[in-house]
Amino acid sequence: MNVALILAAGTGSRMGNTDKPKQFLPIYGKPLMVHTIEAFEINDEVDAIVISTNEEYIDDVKVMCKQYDLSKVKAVVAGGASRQISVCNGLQGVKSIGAKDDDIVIIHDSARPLISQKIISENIKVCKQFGAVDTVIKASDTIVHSQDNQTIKDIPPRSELYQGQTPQTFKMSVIMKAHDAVKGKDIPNVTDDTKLVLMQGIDVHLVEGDKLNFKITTFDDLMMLKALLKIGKTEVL
Amino acid sequence: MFQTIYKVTSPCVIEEFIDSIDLTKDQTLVKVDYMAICKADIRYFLGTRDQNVLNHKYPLAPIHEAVGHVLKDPTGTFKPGDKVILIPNSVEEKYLKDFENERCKREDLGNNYAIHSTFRSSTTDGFLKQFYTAKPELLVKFDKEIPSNLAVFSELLSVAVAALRRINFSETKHVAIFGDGILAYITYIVMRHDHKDTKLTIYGIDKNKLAMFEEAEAKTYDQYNGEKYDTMIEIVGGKYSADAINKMIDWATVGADLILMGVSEDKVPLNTRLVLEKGLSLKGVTRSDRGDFEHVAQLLKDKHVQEQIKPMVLSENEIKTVNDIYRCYEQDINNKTLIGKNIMKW
Repeated sequence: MNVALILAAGTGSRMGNTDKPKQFLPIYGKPLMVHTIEAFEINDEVDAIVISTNEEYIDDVKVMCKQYDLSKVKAVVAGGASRQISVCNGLQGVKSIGAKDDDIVIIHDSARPLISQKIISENIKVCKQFGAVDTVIKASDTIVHSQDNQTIKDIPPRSELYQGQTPQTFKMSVIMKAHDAVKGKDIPNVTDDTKLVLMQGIDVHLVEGDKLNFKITTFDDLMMLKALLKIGKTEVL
Repeated sequence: MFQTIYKVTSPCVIEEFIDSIDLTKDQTLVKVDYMAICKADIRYFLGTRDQNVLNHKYPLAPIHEAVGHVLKDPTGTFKPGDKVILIPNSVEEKYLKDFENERCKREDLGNNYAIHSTFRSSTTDGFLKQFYTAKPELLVKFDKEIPSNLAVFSELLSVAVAALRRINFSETKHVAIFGDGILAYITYIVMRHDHKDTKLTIYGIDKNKLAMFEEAEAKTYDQYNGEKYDTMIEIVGGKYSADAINKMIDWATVGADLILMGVSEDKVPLNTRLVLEKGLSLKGVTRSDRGDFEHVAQLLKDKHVQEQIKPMVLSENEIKTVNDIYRCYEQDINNKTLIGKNIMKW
């Protein structure tokens, strides 16, 4: 079984003056996260979807799933204050729908609506082979390393650098082991699940992402998404 | 959800656009599996149509030959997984009441000829995208056993079916097809399947291509022996249209039917004196209707037909980036010697 775990528990604190978290903002008539979930809903290889969201929005999300006929959504669970807790709770949701050790969980940010079918399918394919996968794009700009926010400590070779995206995809046994190992601990600088898996000494393989698979984090990102859609709506006679 | 759709924005330029898919209750959601490039797509891509026409067309998503499978259907017409042919043409009911469109009701014509009818990759965006939503009447189910890489030729087959609808076979003894290209070969396949007792001759210029027409008399123009034909189908088009149609006029019996299917950008000078003297009928055929697609879905069940189509799959190309699309266009544009297409799949 391949299960998509959609993370939708963000607060959207960097989105400016909005009364809702970013994943609930309407884009062309439907909430941003619905666009994202639909990408998994219509992928033939995805069997089920679990959503980890803010506790106060669980009912709203369930209504949304009904309204937009998201029939693959099998569980909606409460997220947490950090990404780590939201994923951990989400994994319990994945377990609750019957996922076993060898099953695959595809963890994706709800705020990356331009996820392509190719990336989803490639994640599943590579994960079946290696057990742990991260979606990345090659770093196009030079990246500098600074520890004090004032001076450059060093400049790592660009050819070795990538920017991480989601999905991050793992066999259930791999991701459960990684989360169990840090359960109840406050691990600093853990912004994604790949880091937790690496801490277990497990290799994580790369899948090529896409620049369009960017995360809607700021108001500017939202404007960029809307601009891209406006161009796409150009009508012909 | 969102998806990438590819559009021709100017000659030889294809760009990515983001498209929003809306799953409404009266539409079926289809995953497009296979697509094929048509000569019309190539003309838009190369910009070899009148500049004024092109200015009104771009940006335009190409491709009107495609098949897929159903993902969701709130209308209950199809089940998930059903394989379907995508019908590229449609017309709103209100336009069929116009005087100009009255004759579309005739069985040998059809709604495709209606003024204001729309056609994918010509008057509206085509199928060069992974997902497509449409009303169920714009989809035709085909048997799951039929390979989709063969069913992608359905639109061409439907055009051949539409052409043969213009012929009264009870009065026809000998049909001649002028042309040795892909549509001529497809028309030959349909003709042999549906009207195998009618004598058929193919005229062309390329002996290798003519060799593919195994179940008919196939010869080059210089092998003409003075025989007359009561029905002839022109599938030459372009700058050789005039030569082919004038030969047809010369080689026609009195009262013969001449079916014209080749597209020419220029006006074609014809020997109208002889058309008048022989009382010939010229009938234009382009595109097809839903009924033709339904006929094709049945035709494709025939294993012999499938065997005849197989050689036309010159290559299968997985589309991952816009460069893969450019490569397919290039292959089809450069193919002058083989009957077939380099088909695309996601």
